[in-house]
Amino acid sequence: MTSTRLSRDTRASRGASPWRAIAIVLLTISTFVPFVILVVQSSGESWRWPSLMPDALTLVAWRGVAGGAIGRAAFTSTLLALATAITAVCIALPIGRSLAQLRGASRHVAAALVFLPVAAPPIALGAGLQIATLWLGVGGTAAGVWLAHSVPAIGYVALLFLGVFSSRGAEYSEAARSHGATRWQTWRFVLLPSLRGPIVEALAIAFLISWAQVALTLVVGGGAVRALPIEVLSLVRAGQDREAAVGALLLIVPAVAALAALRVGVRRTDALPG
Amino acid sequence: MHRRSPLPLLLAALVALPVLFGVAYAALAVLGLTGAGATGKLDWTRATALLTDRTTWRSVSWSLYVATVSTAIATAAAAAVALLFPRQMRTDRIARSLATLPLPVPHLVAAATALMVLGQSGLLARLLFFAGVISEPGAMPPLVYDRAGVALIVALAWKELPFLAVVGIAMRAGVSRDLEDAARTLGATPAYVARRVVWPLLWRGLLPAVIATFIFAFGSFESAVLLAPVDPAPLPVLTMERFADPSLARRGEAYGLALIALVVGAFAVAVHEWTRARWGALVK
Amino acid sequence: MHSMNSSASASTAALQLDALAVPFDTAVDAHEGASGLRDISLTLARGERVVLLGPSGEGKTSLLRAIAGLAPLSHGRVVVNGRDVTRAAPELRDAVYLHQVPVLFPHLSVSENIGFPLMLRGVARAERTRVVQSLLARLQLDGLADRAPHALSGGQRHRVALARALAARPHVLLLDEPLSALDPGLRRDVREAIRIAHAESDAGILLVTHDLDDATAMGDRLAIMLDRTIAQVAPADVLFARPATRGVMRFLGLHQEFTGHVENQHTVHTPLGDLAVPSDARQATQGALTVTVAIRNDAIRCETGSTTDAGSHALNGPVVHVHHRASGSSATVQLAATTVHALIDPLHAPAVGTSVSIHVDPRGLLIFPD
Repeated sequence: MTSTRLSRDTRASRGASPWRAIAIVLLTISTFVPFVILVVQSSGESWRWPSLMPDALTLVAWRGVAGGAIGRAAFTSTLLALATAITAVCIALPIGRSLAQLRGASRHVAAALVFLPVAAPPIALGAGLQIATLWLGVGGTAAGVWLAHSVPAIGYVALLFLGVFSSRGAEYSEAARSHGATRWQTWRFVLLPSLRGPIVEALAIAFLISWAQVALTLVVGGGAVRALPIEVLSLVRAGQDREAAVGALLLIVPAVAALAALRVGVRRTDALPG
Repeated sequence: MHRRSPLPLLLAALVALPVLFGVAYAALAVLGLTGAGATGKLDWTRATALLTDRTTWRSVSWSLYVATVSTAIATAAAAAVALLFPRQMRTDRIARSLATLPLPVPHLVAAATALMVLGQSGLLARLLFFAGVISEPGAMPPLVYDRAGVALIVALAWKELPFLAVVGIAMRAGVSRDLEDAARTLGATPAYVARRVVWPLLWRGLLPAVIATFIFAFGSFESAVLLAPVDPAPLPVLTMERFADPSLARRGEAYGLALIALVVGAFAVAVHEWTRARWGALVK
Repeated sequence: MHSMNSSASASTAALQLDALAVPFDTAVDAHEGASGLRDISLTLARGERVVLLGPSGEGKTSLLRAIAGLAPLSHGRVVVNGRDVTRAAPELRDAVYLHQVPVLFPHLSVSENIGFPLMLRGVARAERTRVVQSLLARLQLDGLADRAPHALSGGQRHRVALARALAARPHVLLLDEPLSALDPGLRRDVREAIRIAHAESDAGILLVTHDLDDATAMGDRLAIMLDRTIAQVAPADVLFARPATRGVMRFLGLHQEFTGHVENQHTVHTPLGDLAVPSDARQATQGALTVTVAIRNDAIRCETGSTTDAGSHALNGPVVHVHHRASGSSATVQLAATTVHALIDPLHAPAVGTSVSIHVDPRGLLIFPD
């Protein structure tokens, strides 16, 4: 059997070779070129038609971040995203756990319900949320935007924990209680520790959902809440490509960092769902 | 621990409440029962105006078109990655990492970059100039703000690919070697195995993600606002315009448009969950 | 939370089940008569091992989990060491349930896993360490104290799970299909671990399996579960000699069945000739026209050549098939009225086609009314 496998792999790799090579080239271009363009754009002095490269390099746009609108917007976005992340995990973890008990049709209905705020087109979702935040007295404020961001974040995180608690979680709970642990002891000594990985993952995802939000921030914040994506959007529309590129790169960096933290967290615990 | 409690479903409804509330409010608003300019009486004029306006339907269908094409492209590319690079060799792992790396990049960044690359005086145009294909920006075929939505489709597909690739790779990995070996010992060639064993499992496992991607593409505002034409305007952009319209009637229509978007979204969620229920356990 | 051992008399059973009814679908409101186990009654003495044996299906696992408090009961009482725990939470029952696939806490080391029940009960660290060390040694887990669960082999995981259960000093150990789907090497490993666990504690062990050989090897008594209830509870030898019902007889697979026509109180006419009814089976033949006659496999012999000896109920026929097995060889013989499998000496196996005579030992006869 081994020899058959080897020859099959060799045949396959020989046969598929041109496609794989093409694919790798395309993937490399597709993955890195946008990033490179943004870097060049952000540090280019006077990059006009038809030059393929800017006339000179300058860091003026980068230096302007600290005290400028982009810097403030990044700060606002960070706070919003952190607040959303913590809110989403605190609320959605118990919800996900509760949903994991469901079976059959109820389970699917629950999963669909919880997915609704995630999948609902943000402008449409924002319409209802705008009214709600106005009624609650937080319309057009950062608090209102935080509430708005939390809505899809809670949905996503609830789905995540629904998965987590559906896998081995129930069995850990049973083993603990059968050996004498009360409900509280089960939580403290078994469930919470094994949830460390999924919690990190959930925080990262909820952070990203808020961090990248555009429509909700616009509709609920009414333009008064200048999150980073809003700032970048304005810059792009105003044709200020260099500053926009700086903002765009700032948008990418924490997102990538969050993903990296995720991968590390995943490797450390054994308790993540398949 | 075992009693049939209504609590879980109630909690799920609570999570969905903002959407349900939005649907209810939008319905009431477009019927003139609430919101700015409400008369307090059932008023079908806005709804009728909205539903009979060709702009509405051109907008909806254009958004559907863009979402469908971009999702199709991204799905094909993701499936290709999953099928071409299934092994643990270094090349395969590098390819998979390349495909999934851009996952956390926000939609907005993808759209902004697309603008810089595919714009009239963007990088692609300059490359073509360099190659002698065109002589001035105006000769560059419009890929941005064009009715075919090329730049928008490219940006959306680029953003969707990593997510679908992650799911596709996971699904492909779930098709066990044993299954393939069993087919091979029964006389199937590698091509047959790919076509009749791996692919059927792959697309079924991928389907929920494809539907989710479709609905995200359909509702994406930031990409549309940067890259789409004014007419036909994609649904999110049209909705936003109407929201900001000074005319109260138009603002009421905005809620109608939001309602249409929510209905499409809800339908997609239902289909998504149905495919997950049907085929979710096939590949593990 | 400490077990109430001191006040229990020596004769208190470790576990007593009174007329339990266990619903299969835990999401549906349970009521008697619906699908599920019914009328389960069993007593498990201290230090005794009882094996629940039956065809694969949900019932046995549901029963164990119901005893452990992890699944609902719709009727009946569960009594552990003289204490009614039917309404008690799982952690208060002194009955430890072990999953089929060992569930070890992934974030704790081996010694932390084993020490878990002790930690819960507030046992001091020094004492905890002592107990854990002793259990590690007894279950051959030396050197693995600081290992993480995911770095353990299958056999090691089973042993850690058992060690942890022992640390909880329960009155009852509930083992859910511990040997199912294990390869032979692992099987031996786990069987040995269970034997050690049994030696280390006076807990009653209730074990579930669907394999007859595992059951006879590990059980002092076997409880055969058929038709959603317990058909018979007895030690293996009694079970094999006197299966209580036709269902048990068929499940054990150690008998061949034939239809018997009752001639009179003493004789029954079968395709294997007229056979004498055993004295304790006279009741089964009373008033009946036909009965099921079950003959133990090892009560049917064959010899080459024919015999017309009237006194031994002999019958003749050709051999149609010879089957050699590790547990013994048999020949399938075609008689006038039926086919029968007879034990043969593997060294002198008759060739296919040879005419042989069948001899039935009347002591291997069982009669079941129709």
